[in-house]
Formats: sequence, structure tokens, C-alpha cells
Amino acid sequence: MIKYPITFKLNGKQVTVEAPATINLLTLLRDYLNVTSAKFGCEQGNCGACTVILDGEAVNSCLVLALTVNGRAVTTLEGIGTIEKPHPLQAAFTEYYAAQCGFCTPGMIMASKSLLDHNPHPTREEVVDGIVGNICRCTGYNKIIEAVLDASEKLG
Amino acid sequence: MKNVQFFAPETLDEALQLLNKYAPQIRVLAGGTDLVRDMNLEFNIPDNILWIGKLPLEYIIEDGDIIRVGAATRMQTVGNSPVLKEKARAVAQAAGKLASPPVRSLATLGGNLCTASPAADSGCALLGLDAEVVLTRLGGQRVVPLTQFYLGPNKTVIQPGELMTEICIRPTGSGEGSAYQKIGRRQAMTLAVLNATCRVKLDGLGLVDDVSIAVGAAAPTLLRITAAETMLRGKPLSEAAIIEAGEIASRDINPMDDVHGTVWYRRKVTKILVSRTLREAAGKNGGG
Repeated sequence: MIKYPITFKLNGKQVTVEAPATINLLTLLRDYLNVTSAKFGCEQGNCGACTVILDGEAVNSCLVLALTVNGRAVTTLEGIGTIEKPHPLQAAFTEYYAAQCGFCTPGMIMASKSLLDHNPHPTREEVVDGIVGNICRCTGYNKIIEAVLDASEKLG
Repeated sequence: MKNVQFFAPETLDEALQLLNKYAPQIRVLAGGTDLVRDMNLEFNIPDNILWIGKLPLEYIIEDGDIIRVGAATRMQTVGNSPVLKEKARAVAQAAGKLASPPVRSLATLGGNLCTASPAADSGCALLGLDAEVVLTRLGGQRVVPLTQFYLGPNKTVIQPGELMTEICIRPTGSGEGSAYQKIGRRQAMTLAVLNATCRVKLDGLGLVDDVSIAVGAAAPTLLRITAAETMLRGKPLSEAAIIEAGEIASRDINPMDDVHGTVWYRRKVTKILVSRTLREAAGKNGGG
């Protein structure tokens, strides 16, 4: 099988990995680089569980062919905060009980981060529009929306 | 697993050489929201992939009487474009209603046309705005009006070796407006059960100078409702005329029953949606 080298910036660090042309960014992250926050949900762009930030914008990593990230920058949940020093969104999700089973949470936070990066003070409606592509089957979304609004205030 | 070759050309000439060399065993990858999904589900794994993301095909330029949009312009760029919002409003509206923000930062306008879904959001808007597409091949290009572009579900007139490079839109002028409306199973992140685009130009007396009506998810391809357009031309855009146009559309579509909606429902909704879209395009937001 033909493999191609891919060099890109992952959470601020340069990485190089070899992969075939058929795999997507989600598989590259999870199976080749052991970066597992992005979740494998539908692989069709419908659920948002695999959302990461590519060159500053939220994307469904399952719809990005791995080879197309060569030379670009990818940020996953691992790159925005730690347990000791969580990102304000991570802190707000904890405080507002915005995660129950947690499966959607990494994608939800990355979609929210992209929203706040582009629009630091969204209205409630704009938050809803920002996370419309991320499905959560537990929370009913209200706590997630409250958490994002709170984080937007704390981020200033 | 199959050996798949990947190409990421940096110039249009290089891309066309590769397309020509490997056609028809090569697929163009733009945003990937259709092709990569099909690869993930193992519906369709091409032998060769030509990624056009490095070509300078993302732009929106006003060029005299035409707006030129690069075929690889992404939906979020289309949806946020001040030029399109002002002069091709239906296209910006449609791009903003496509799927979700993460999908819109990948999906491209040209890709949405080439996939040729009968329910395509931006395809419906562009058809209703009389757009044309530029298909480029080694040593030449041709311009095809969207009215002649679609052959069937997922089928277009694009020949092996051809690449869609540009979409040309005739902007709306004074006394003229356009609108896109969509009915889905929910408000957002949904495929159209039905969609409609209208472009209306009224003259100084309030008579219809020019009109186009496009309907999607109602036939094997996106459809123009020419009988309703003909009926409206030269008439005042009265509420009765608006409703009659909706009735003609409801009669002239050729829908099917599928998981998204039934023929019965689609005919009922076509009448309402076409009337509603006509009103919005003409700036008459009264009525039901």
C-alpha cells in the first residue's frame, strides 16, 4: 500500500507520520498518533463528536482527508488545557454539569472554542448556531449553552 | 486495502494535466464533505484523488456585470460575503443554511454543484439566480448555464478531464431581489425536504419585469418552474398571482416518496414555499 508522509502542527508541536491516502484526520489522530479526545461517531459529518480546529476553524475531522493537513495546524482538546490548568470552556463545562456521558464533550468544546475565537461575546442564539452540528443525547443542551455563555464572560 | 494515489497540485495547469492523465479513474477532492464521507462508508474509494485545496480557487470578485466565485470557495466564505449578501442574497442565505459551521468551513460551492444532489442548498439558490459554471480542461474551457448542467441525481455534464473552476452569478440590481427558503425535518443541520429560490425584478409600475423560480428536492434534478415564470411576467405581483405561481409549481414538480418526505407532502409544501419565497424576494412579507 502506498503511504505518504504528513507533517503538520498538532497542538503546537510539529509531527510527521506516514499514512495511506484513504484515511481521514480522525483516524490519523486516534490510530496513528494516539490523540483520542476527538471521538468516532458517525463518520459522515452529522454528529460533530470528532470536531477539531484546523487552521483556526472548527471542522469535522472525519471529513478531512488526512493527507490534506500536510503543512497545516490542528488543535484538539488536548491542546487547549490540562487538568491543572483547564481552558475557561473546560472549567465552565465542569461547573455547569455540561457533560454527562462525555462522548460529545471534546467536539462540543472545540466547536464552542472556534465560535468564541471568532465571536467572543455571542448571544444565546449564536451559541446555539455554533454548536448546531454537535449532537448531545444526554444534557438537552441547556447546560452546555449556559457553560459556553459563562466561559465567554470569563474570557472577557 | 486498495492502493490509492493522492495528488495536491499547486497550479491549475498541473491539476489539469493530472486530470487528463488519469481520467476517468480520478476523483476531484474539494471540501471532502461528500467524497470523504463516501470513502469512510466504503461506498466509493477512488483509485486516484486530486485535491484542489492548494489551487487559488477561493475568491469572490465583482467584475462588471458579473460576480465571479472561485469553485473552491467554502460555504462560510459564501455565507459571510458582503457582496453576495447584497447582490446575490439567496446564495448567501443557502450557504448559511447548509449543515453546520464545521461542515461549512470545509464544503465548497463548486463541490455542492458537482455532487448534484437534487436537494442541494446552494445549487438551488444558484439555479434560481441564473448562474453559469466554468468548466476548464487542458487547452480550453466552456461556460455552461446551470439550467443545462444537471442530468440526474449525482449526474452532470462534466466530462472526464474537466474541472469546475468558477461560478458566475448575475447580481441583482435595483428593483430586484432574491430569496432562498428551505423546509427540513428540523431547523438546522438538515437535508432539504424541499427548498425554493426566487429572483424577482419589478418595474417602476410594480409589474414583474423578470422572475425566476427554482425548486429542489422535488424532482430527479433541481428544477426551474418555467410555466410559473411565464405566467408572472408582465403582471402585477398580486397575492393571487403569487398563489397561482405556487400552484403551478406544485403541479409541475416530479417528486418521489423517500425517507425525508412523501409526494403528497412535497406537493402541498411546494405551493406554500414557492409563494413564501416569491413574497420574500419581492419584499412582500405579508401573507401566509
